[in-house]
Amino acid sequence: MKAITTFFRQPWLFAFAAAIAVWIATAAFTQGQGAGEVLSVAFTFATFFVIVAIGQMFVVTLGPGNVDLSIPATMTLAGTVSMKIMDGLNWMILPGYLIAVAVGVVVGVLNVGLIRVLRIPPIIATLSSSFIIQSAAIWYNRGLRVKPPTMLADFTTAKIAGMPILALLVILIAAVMHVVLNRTIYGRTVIAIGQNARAARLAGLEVNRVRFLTYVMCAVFAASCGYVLAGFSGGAALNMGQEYLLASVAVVVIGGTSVAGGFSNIPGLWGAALFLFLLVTMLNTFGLGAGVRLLLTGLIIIAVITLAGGSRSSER
Amino acid sequence: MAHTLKRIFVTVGVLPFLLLAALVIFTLASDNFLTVQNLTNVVRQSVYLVIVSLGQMFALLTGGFDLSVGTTLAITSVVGALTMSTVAGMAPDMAWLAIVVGSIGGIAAGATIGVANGIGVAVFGVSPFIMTLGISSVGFGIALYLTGGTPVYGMPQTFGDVFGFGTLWGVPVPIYFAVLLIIVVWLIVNWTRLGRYFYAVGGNTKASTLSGINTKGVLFVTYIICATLTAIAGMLLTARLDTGEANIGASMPLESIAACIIGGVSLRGGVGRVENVVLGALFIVLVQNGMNLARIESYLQTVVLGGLLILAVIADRIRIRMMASLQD
Repeated sequence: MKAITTFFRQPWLFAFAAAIAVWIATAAFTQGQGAGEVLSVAFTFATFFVIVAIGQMFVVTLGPGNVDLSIPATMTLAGTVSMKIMDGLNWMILPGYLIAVAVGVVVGVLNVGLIRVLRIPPIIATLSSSFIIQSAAIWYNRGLRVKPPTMLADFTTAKIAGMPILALLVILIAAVMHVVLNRTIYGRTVIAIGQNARAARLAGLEVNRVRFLTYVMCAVFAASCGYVLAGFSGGAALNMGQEYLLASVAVVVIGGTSVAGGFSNIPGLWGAALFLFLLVTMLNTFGLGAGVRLLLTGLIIIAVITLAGGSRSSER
Repeated sequence: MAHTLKRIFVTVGVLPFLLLAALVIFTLASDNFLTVQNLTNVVRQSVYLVIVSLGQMFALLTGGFDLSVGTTLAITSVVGALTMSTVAGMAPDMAWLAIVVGSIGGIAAGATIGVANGIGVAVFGVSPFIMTLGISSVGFGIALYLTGGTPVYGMPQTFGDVFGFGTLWGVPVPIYFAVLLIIVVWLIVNWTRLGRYFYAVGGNTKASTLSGINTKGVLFVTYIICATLTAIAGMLLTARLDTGEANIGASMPLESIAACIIGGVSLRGGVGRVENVVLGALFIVLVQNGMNLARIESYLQTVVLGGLLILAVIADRIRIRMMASLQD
């Protein structure tokens, strides 16, 4: 009995439970055929969701109104710039990645500049900067599709016993970020700002510096995702970031992080990312199209937020 | 001289200056810009953005915003076109019946999006950002599902001829709709009790609740008005395109928010004027038209839009500061 109540107090467990349920439903539909492959593919794609969602989660945790809408554009710009500079050369992989990170840093500084110096609300600031970033990507790339270095392509698609290496790496990163969030001054400050920004400032916390770091970090995660995704899919495409805006918000929210800020959960990101991808797989197996997928994603986000918001207000 | 300029800037805002600058620059850049034909064209093209921006203004006035206006356009267009072509198929002789039933169906479908947003924001207290983002995914999903991704044909010829391309006394028909809606919205916002409530709720939600305003009701109505206005624009756009499409209006959320902000609507709610929003929308379409005539590439055009948006926000801040200094 106690186990059950503990379970219900941990909303992020729902994400894992839902992911497993959807996987079993898919496996049952195909009578167990390819269930292992489905899981392996799910881990591959969930990895990309998780990378951007970690950054988005830190931003969302900063409190109401904080969200980064420039993630898709940042992914596209970092992907195109790094692929073009690497020009398919294996020895350029590391410099290429550093360039992607640099793109992320520039975007993050641009966002914070708009938010802090010009005092534009984050949603509008990141929305307008995303148009500038996306235009930069179009201008830089001019429709060319440069192939990634072969070693990068091999690395992003490699698997050990069915488990993608990239997924293992991102699980490790997620674990590190979990510690950063819960056991470092930086992480605790992010949570404190989200719960009460004024109180955090009065308590002497470095609110502005932490906000700055968080937006830059989010952009760097988005840029890294653009880099590995471009490596994975054989080159950068101008629309490669498109579905990651809704996905990043969805993964954060379904994973049990509060949209109002101040409460976040990293393990839930993995549960939610797997759930979203397995849901798509299930709908595809059942023969339903893109329309139903978008519809369900939207409905699930709204449902989760409405339920989460309702339960918190009743607790107080 | 400098003082007079400052006074004008504080009273009317940055928009008239931007409009003037755009007119001068584009007249110099292209011979075809400052012609009656082109300017009529600009006004006709801007009808859709003007109407959507009016709706968006309501959402911004109450301190929220509506990211689902693009989806509302899509749903309206798809449902309206499907209904119209079905009715037209059943009763081919009665084109006007099909047009009326189809338009009502489309606008009702669009308004439903507003009801959904309203329930989420007003009743459950979900943040407008997440609610309208989620709903825009749901709505776009429905639109894709209904059409299977292909445009809807088969509407009566009359519909496009009258509401898309028709003219009355030399003025395109859509402009009459826009003018009528501008007047209606202006009357609602400035001369009705409900209209003032939008400002009150956006200015200070708590104070308005304590003064006895039904804040939740006002918020609920806000999103329905926004969606209904957008839906009307959606039907007009469908008439212009002669097809129902799921992917119209993708750029509408940003453009309508930009039009409002350039028109001086505050993102924090409670501040904004109808006539300036109309000018803001006109300005955006004017700049797009001018850039097309000057053969500026499309990726640069989005940079310009983003830049103008940021510029408008900065100008607004300077204006507030100057206002304070002039009062001293």
